[in-house]
Amino acid sequence: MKTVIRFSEKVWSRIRDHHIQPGKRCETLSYVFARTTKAYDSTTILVAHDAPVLLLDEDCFEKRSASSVRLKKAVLDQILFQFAGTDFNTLINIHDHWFDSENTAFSRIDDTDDQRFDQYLRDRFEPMLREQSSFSVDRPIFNVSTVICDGGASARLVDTRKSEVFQPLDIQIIGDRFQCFPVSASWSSAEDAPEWLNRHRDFIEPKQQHWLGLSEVLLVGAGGLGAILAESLARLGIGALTIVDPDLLDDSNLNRFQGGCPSDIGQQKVRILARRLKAMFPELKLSIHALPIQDEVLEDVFSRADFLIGGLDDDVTRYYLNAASVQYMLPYFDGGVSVETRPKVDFRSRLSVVLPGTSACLQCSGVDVLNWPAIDEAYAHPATLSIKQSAGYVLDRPEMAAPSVYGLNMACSAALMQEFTNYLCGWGPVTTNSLTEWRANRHDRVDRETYPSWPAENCPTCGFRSGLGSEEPLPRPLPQSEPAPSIENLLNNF
Amino acid sequence: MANPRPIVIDGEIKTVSADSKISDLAPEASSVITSDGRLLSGKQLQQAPLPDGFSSVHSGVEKGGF
Repeated sequence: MKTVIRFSEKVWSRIRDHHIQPGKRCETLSYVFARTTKAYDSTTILVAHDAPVLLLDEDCFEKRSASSVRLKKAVLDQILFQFAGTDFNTLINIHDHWFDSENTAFSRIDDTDDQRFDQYLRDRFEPMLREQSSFSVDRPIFNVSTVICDGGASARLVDTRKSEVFQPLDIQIIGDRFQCFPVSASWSSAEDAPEWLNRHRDFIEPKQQHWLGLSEVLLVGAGGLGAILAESLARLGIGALTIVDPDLLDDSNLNRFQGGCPSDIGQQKVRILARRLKAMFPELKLSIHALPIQDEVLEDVFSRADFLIGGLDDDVTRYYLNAASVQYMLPYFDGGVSVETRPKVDFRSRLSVVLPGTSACLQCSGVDVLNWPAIDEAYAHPATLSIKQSAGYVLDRPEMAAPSVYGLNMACSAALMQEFTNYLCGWGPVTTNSLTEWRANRHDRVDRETYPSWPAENCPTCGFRSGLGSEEPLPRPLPQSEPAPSIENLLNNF
Repeated sequence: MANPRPIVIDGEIKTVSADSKISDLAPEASSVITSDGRLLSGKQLQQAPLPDGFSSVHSGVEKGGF
């Protein structure tokens, strides 16, 4: 069971600045409201950039000392009353060890208090949510306790109904640079990394390499880009990889499908990749799904992933992944290539990075990435499409075989992997958008330092979906099987 | 000074000054939760009475002990 709490850096830095400030001489306590998403093999707690953060002033406390803090009962009641009226399902309490740079262990007093408070939540608060609809919203509550110090943090889920009352959580912080405090970060030296990764040692810290080994990447697209990306991720030392692509290998794919053989033709691309990756990296944890990523049975894969990578040739799926990235707070790296033939041959490669809650998403970045007519068409109601067709709009465009070439896919994958590694290791500002055009000898690149675009409040994705997890369905195109009325029929009944 | 702006509350259009706060528009609203990171005082938090039927905690919260 994977258990993670993912904080937006905006919220995390606010909490950290409040708890670990120069001159502070006593402990304090604060609260954050969040959302928990449970999947069959994972629990993910999402603290979005706009989550309510309750930083409490001195008069909220009954007693404060260097190493303890006691919150007034009346203040706690009010916090719970405010929480009851929202639709957040997770209450996080945070206290600090301001006096220590490393110690984030929970004390016996913390244990006792967390259990006592959890019993109140189970015995009285949750039943009240069911009964008092005038000021509360009925839902199960997740109770999280966190300790923060200058050099780290620890978090745990508390549930007194379970045999294991305390369940440790990996902490991830999604910002300009990826930070994490994994529960199982018991690395001791560079020797922890396997020998085949020793050429990384000079530029990837042992701690970061260890974390890579614990990470899971969701790769959507196993074609010309995806095949190269999958192998690159495995060679970087990623611990687990989930690959999603519904397509079969066609003979026309062999000009760019890395490692593809004539004998593979007609097989699922994900199976071919899995077979090869398993032979090369026996320890890689691999899951494959030969389904479209929009399939409802695949929603859980977003819950358990740590990063999202797209190697796609389709903007409708890209739009969907953008929403999933923001909703599940997954850093999203998206590559795209095109070979232009008119008016002259040109080779173009593009990279976009979405850091949910920190950078603008594909929809509000101001960089024209998505093909909106194609997306509008895919998401239109079947009746609307039918009416458009009747009115003379041509919507059933035959699928054209797009020109493509292996070398261009390699260049795009290399740029994407470079940026992915940069984000994990924090070498420099992350590139959020780049475009390379061979004929014009053009390479445009914007990063978080030169053009730090932020999530727009009025963006339909960033302003609405941030950190919602599975509470909101992802935007799937409507099934096109619905019978569409003819325009005459509609007009006659108008 | 900013221009007054129209807003809709419960389907009714009202014109309010640009610097209006939620408490000016809906004084009965008791929520003080924001996400801007300002400090919440105990006095401010305890302004609104708890409604009938609210299940109070038995005690406050205590952390620490090192």
